[in-house]
Amino acid sequence: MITRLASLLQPRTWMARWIAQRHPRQNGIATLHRQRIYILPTRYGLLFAVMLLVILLGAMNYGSNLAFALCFLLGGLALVGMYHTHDNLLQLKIEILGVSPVFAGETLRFQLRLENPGSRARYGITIESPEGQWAAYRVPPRQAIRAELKIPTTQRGYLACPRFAISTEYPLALFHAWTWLNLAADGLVYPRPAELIEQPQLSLRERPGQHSQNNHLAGSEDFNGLRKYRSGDAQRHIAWRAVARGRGLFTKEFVDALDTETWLNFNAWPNTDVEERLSRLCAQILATEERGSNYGLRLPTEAIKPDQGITHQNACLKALALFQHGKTRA
Amino acid sequence: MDILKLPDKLLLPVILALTLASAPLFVWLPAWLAPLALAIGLYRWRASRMVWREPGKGLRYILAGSIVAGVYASYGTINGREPGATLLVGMAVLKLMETRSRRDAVILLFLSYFCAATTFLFAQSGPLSLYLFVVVLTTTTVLIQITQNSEYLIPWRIALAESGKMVAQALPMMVILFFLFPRLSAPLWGVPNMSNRGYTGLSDIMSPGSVSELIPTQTVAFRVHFPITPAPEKRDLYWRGPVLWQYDGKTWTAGTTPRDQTYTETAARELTSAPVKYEVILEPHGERWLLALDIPIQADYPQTSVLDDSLIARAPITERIRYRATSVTGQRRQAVLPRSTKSQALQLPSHMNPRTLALAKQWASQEPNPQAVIRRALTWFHDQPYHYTLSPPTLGTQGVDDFMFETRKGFCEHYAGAFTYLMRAAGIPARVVTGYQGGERNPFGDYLIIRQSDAHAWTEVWIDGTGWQRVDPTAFIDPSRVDNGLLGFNEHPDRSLNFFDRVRLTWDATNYQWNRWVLGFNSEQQHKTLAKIGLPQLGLREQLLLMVGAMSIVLLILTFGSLWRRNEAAMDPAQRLYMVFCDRLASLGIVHLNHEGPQDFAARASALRPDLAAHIQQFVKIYVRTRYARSRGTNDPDALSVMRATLRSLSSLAWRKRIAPTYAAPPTNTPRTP
Repeated sequence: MITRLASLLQPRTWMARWIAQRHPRQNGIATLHRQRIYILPTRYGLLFAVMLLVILLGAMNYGSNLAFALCFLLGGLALVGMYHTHDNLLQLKIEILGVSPVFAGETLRFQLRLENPGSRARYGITIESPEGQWAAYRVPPRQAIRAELKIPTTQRGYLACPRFAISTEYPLALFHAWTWLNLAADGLVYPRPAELIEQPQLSLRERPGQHSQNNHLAGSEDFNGLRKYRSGDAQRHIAWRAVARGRGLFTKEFVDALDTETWLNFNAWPNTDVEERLSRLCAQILATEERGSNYGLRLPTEAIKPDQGITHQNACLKALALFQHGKTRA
Repeated sequence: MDILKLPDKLLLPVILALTLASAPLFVWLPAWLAPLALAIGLYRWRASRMVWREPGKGLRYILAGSIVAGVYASYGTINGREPGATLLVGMAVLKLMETRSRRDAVILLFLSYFCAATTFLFAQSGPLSLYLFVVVLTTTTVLIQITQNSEYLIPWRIALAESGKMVAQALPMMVILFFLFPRLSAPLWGVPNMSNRGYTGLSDIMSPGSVSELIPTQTVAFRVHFPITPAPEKRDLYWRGPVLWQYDGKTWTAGTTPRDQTYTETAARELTSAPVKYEVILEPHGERWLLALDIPIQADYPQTSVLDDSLIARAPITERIRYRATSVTGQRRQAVLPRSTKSQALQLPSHMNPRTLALAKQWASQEPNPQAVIRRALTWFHDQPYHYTLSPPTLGTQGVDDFMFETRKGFCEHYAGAFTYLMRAAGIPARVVTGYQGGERNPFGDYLIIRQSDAHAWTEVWIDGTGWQRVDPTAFIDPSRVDNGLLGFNEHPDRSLNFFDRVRLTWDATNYQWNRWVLGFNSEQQHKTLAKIGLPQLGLREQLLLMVGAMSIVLLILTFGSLWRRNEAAMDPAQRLYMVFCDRLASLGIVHLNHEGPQDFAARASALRPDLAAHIQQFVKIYVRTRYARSRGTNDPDALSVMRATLRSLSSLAWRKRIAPTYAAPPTNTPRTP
């Protein structure tokens, strides 16, 4: 009871709860309605009001009717501006399109789609993250644009898109109209890759009966020729000289005399903290993928068979991100 | 790129807005301000081009200090209208110097608005208002641009259109507030004594003989409108200004000895003619007197006192004002001249002008009464070879004698001065009254224009049992001795109006109406206006409520206007055609029901009107395909034109076979859901 009273006395807590109640999590496309758009004067607005008051006093004192008129015109302008600021957000449609996974410590960029169903362009539509990062957009009439909501990350796992503000001060910046959006979307955050201390132990294994020249496997040792670039090919294998000559993207194909395969094991560092182990595994996955070797991941809960390629890498990273992670996708 | 920093390309528009807004103020402000402002503006602009170094903090403090010092040096104070405006412009320019962020620029634009408002404390003419309206438009346009925290500019065309739209929408608010905002009838704090700038026109001293040439200027002194009675004859239009009592042999002055409070004289006076009501719009002249017709008995300008039958304002008139007054003209009665006043009215410098003194004494002894002396003197001016000229010779130390017997050339000041001198010498209390005589009627507006060239001086003599009586000796000079080319003093020669006169007078009439309306709206007018629209006796609270109510209505209209636009916009063309289709069928008695989808509705309609079934089915088929199959979008022009054609033939078919509806659903007003 006492804590409740205390929380009532703290306007921030009280406000936060009220905001949370008014803006529950929402699926799909959010349309900004009259009831959920708030508007308050900005600091410019307050300054403007003070200026109007001074003009009014001057007009009264010197009995200048035109100074009165100008004061009233500016007052009317502010009111009309208030209406336009509010109108600038009204009926705007916002949808979260998706978000690419990032490593912890990097910034999640939620892709938003802002649609303006009206016949007037919307200027100065600002997307503001809870951390105060913002960017202003304009949405042409009857069109949609892409916008980004940048959320910094610290931990691996799913990060639910936080409640963020969409606001505008267009046209005169005398008023700030805004609403909070609480859209259902999760960003996947991989563990932060550790500084690589040891190279992953490759268990080199000769494959009997596959020694002939033709049976060389793709590898990193000997240059074998060029082939068309495929998505996911390592950058350092791109034939940059060919690119420079304008022939397009080609990948240098190497072959290893030996087939390499490695298992990346959670239990490799017995006395290390779980998060640190995941970080190291993450770094190893990246390094091995880069080298073009096949690798598998062995966690206490699951094992992923050796393979390579971007899909495999992402699957491994996702397994790391969600390892012993209580929260599942919202 | 820092978005909150003011982009260089927006600096020039800000400077432009500030320049436009402050330009008119320089007319009234000290001469050193304009070059300073120009220099700083130029410096800032060059600095932005990286040509010059950005101004440092020290320099800015020095400049701020010197502006304050300059204001103090120019006005001796930093309070009041001119010093305040000088400081405002000075500080705006300094702010410009350190403007780097958008925030600074917004403050500069606010200062632009402020400058525009301040200008209206100095002048309120029509062209100025138009100009400042443009200033508001420009400033708002730049403000819209500046407050976009984005690296992209809004196209200027759109920013201007947006600002124009908003200013237009703000106009009704302005009108409402203007008429309903409660007005005060007195200033909040004392309007300080303004500096005495060189205004042309009347002055409260008169030195006949010290000027060798009087250049009449066509500058307007004031304008007068007689709302009830027609204007009096031109020869009766004596506009009264300051009264001069003291003569030192060279100069007539108002004198310093306190005279009796003259309002008691006014009260004690019997009116001998009907009071005339009129309305004056007085141009600023930097002095305290208000011009009034003949003997004013009442005026509505605040804090006006009456001295020697002239109206005196509390503070110098430094802006155009409007007041209404009531006067009596011609003869009026007053019983007693207080002793102290009488002695002033007989004051003469000792041992001067012996010939004039002798002449007056001679008349006084020969004539039986003062009236006869006055007649004698006027006859003298008429019969002797006196000339009326604006280029009289200068007079010596015995000024009156020189004029009376040697030069005999002069204008109204000479005659009024000499006549008063004569009267006093003959023992008749007399005083000099300065003011204006006559006025030009503007045929394009019901008012008179009185110019500085109509300035005049005459005499008032005290007749026991009658009171002060006006005598204008200048009027008695033989017309043949009035210089050619002079308009004379009481009769403008009639001339036909040429094109330029017409343009000038029309322009003057327009301005006059503007000033009359703009200057005249005060708390009293406000109540009258409210009474006119059927709202008399509104209390302060009711008036405020009415104001807020009216403003809300304007905002509501704005909101509903946009709602309507939005609904229109939200509907795609196919949907709109479907609405028309439903309307057509409704007129045939087949009303679309809320729960019906298009196909159900079509089926029901076809059953009711088999003759139209083919068209109905075709329309709905295309509608459904266009709207829901989304093959080519709802804007598919082919589908839309087919729908339109079907609709047309459906209508014409229904028209040709007007068959009574077999079934009519209950009419419903609820919206249809296609």
